[in-house]
Amino acid sequence: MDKEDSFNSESEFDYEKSYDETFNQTFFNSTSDEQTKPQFIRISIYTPIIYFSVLIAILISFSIFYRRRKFNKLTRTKSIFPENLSKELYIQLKNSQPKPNEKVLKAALIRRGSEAFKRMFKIKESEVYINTLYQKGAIGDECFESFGIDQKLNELEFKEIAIEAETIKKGWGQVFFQVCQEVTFNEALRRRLNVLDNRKEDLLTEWGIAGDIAEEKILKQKNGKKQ
Amino acid sequence: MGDSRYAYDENAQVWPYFVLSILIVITIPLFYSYIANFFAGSQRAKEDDKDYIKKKFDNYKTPIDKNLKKFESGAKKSKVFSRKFFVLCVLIVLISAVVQYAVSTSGGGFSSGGFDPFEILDISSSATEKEIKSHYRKLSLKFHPDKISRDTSEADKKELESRFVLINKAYKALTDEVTRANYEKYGHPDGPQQVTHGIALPKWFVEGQYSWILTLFYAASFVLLLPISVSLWWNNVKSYTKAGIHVDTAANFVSKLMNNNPAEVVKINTILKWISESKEFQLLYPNDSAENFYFLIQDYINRNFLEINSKDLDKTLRIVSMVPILIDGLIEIAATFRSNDIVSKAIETNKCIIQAVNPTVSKKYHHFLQLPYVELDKIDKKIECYTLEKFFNLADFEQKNFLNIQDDNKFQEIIEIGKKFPIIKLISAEFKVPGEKIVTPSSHAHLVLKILIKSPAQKGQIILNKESLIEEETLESLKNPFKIVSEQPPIPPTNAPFFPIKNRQHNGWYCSLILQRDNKLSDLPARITNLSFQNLNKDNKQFLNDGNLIVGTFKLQLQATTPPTIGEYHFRCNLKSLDYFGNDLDFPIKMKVEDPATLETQKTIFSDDEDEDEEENEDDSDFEQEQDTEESDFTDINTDTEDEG
Repeated sequence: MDKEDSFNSESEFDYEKSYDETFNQTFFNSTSDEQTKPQFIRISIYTPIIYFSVLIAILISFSIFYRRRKFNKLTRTKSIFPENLSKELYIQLKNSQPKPNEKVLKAALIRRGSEAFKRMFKIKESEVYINTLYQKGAIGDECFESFGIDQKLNELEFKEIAIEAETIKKGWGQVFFQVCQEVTFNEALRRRLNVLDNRKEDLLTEWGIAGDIAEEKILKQKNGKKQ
Repeated sequence: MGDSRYAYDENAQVWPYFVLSILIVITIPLFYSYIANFFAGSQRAKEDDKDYIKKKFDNYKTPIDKNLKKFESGAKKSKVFSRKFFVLCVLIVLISAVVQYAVSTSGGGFSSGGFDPFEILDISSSATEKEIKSHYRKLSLKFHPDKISRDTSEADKKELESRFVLINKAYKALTDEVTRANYEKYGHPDGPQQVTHGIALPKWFVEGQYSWILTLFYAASFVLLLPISVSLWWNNVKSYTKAGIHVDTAANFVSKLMNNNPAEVVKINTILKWISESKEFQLLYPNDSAENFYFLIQDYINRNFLEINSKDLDKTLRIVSMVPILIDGLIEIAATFRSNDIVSKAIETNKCIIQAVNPTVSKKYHHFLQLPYVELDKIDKKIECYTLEKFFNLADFEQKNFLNIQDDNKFQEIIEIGKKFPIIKLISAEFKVPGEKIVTPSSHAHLVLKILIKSPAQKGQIILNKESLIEEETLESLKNPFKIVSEQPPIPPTNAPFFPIKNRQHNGWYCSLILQRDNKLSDLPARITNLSFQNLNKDNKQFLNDGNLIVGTFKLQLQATTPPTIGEYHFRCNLKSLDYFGNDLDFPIKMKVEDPATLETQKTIFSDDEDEDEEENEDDSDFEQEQDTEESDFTDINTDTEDEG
């Protein structure tokens, strides 16, 4: 046993020595006279814990900050369309005390529906244009995103209107949308008809001849009086 | 294995070179771009000197001349002594300082550590063993220590000896097995050499007490400077569209276009209202409202300069100078929406801005407001004369009375400038499919326009050389049918005494193709940028007799293919000048899609109905103007405009 022990220790010693030598020879050839001892630095168990906790805290705070900013940005994005007045009107009527006549409420809902249809047509019509504009880089990300939001909002609006229609009268939903669409078309036609008179005046002033015609009229009137 | 270690730049031998290379990398491109910019500017100025107008407007002082000069000098200053210039100066001073330092510190220079046996033996690297051997023998005869004459000095002897050793080594490296292996492995016949990796920084800077400077520098540049500059750049890129307008402005235009009521008339004022809501103006003058900008622009186009004070006038000019860019952005968006009304009104608005003219107020006399000294209030409104061509038909005294200008010098100047006013005439227009004589179904066609630019003073029937109008189809022209268009000289700058930016490059005509079916754009409008104005220099005699009148060409590539079914398709083509009033063309055009099997050669269309005023066109029904001229004879054009008034 003794012999073996001594042998073991001896061999171990030899091994270490030879290892040291080879190590020095290979890696510290030029500084072989320097005695190098492996240095140990004591690190507290808390160090990695603090490190990771700081890291995770930073990541979490970044994600919270980023999400909040994104949300704020979304709430700030302007709609492409102007304010939806018919929708506001309907909601106000519905919540007003005393409750208005059911017919008034129905009419307001039909208005709201026709506005939704009008927007839907506009969105469908311009979707291709918006996409090409975005691909060409003629509009920014924000505009493109707000168009997408408008699209989704309008879909939600339809769902909301359908539910409202059902609550007013069960089974009205199917006829209701048809009515709304007809109202939309009718209004479009009316707009074009009503604008004709203004169109004439607008074009005359635009071409700078409105004054001439008015003067001529006055002259004619004067001449007529003279005669 | 070679011994490698890192060495600091203790003797300050390397880091000056390191800094120098970085500085040079920044300076050379900057310098190049600066010089190129500078020369481009002077080149442009030279071309302008040759220009047909030759700065005739120098005599004419606009009421806002002082402010215009101020604006111009401000713009010029920023061109020559820009920030770029100062950065360049600083960089060049730095470079010279570093070079000085490097020269003063490095004494001996570097000894090259490389070993190239081919170079030492002075042979090519592809030499065979025989060649190597013979060459080595020759060299060793020359450099062998025994062969050196006794007269040579000790120093020379030593040098020759070392040379001989080198030659031996090189020879061995190429012939001896062991040395060759050494050479191939370590790059040196003696075996591994010590390799040092230099750090171009002195040691005290990295490990000494000043190391915090370096740490701070790294932290500042990688933690702060780099992310900040990247985010700034990216935000800037993101907030401007490709056309150069702010994204908010573009979004506003899109919203306006989507909510535009097609039944309502789009007016110049409508366009100006949209423009004045631009983000660009708000960024420049945050305290002003959109309404304020609108009124400033209105004052400018109405030439109400007396009512504005000088400070506001500067602001107005600044705003007005930006409007054409915004209008261009609007045109692009409106063209994508295929709205012809808005596109043509936007171009009209651009003219108003460039010429400071409001057609709504000027009662058809706006063509004359483009001439110097002419004032709207002074024009004799009893004479029915609305175009320049008509004006040049009047007698001298009538012209004087009409414009109410009695000063002979001024009048002469007006006539000179009026004569150089480009009037555009259509000679022929057809759809063309390259390589085909007819328009075939489902093919890529383009619209070919033959245009004559003439002066309003030139009149009478002119005979054009028929052959000069026919384009021969060669292999070259089939490859690139648009080459003939781009080979024409660029359109010279516009004569616009009121517009703050002189020598604007963005002028010419917009050519748009409109479907008669729904009055919408069938294609994106394209700008005519190249057209010769040579004809303007000819007097009336030359104009009539000279067969060498220059006929311009423009081609508009159709994005969509021609219709797949055979038939006739009706379009309207609209050429609208971006800068001048009374300079537009509007004509109907027919696309006859034919079966390629029936090889009939038919000219697609021809129309000689030319209209100066878009106003009139909107009155006339487009269909009535169409003329089906199967055998079109486009050799003579009637340039008299008696149909006017």
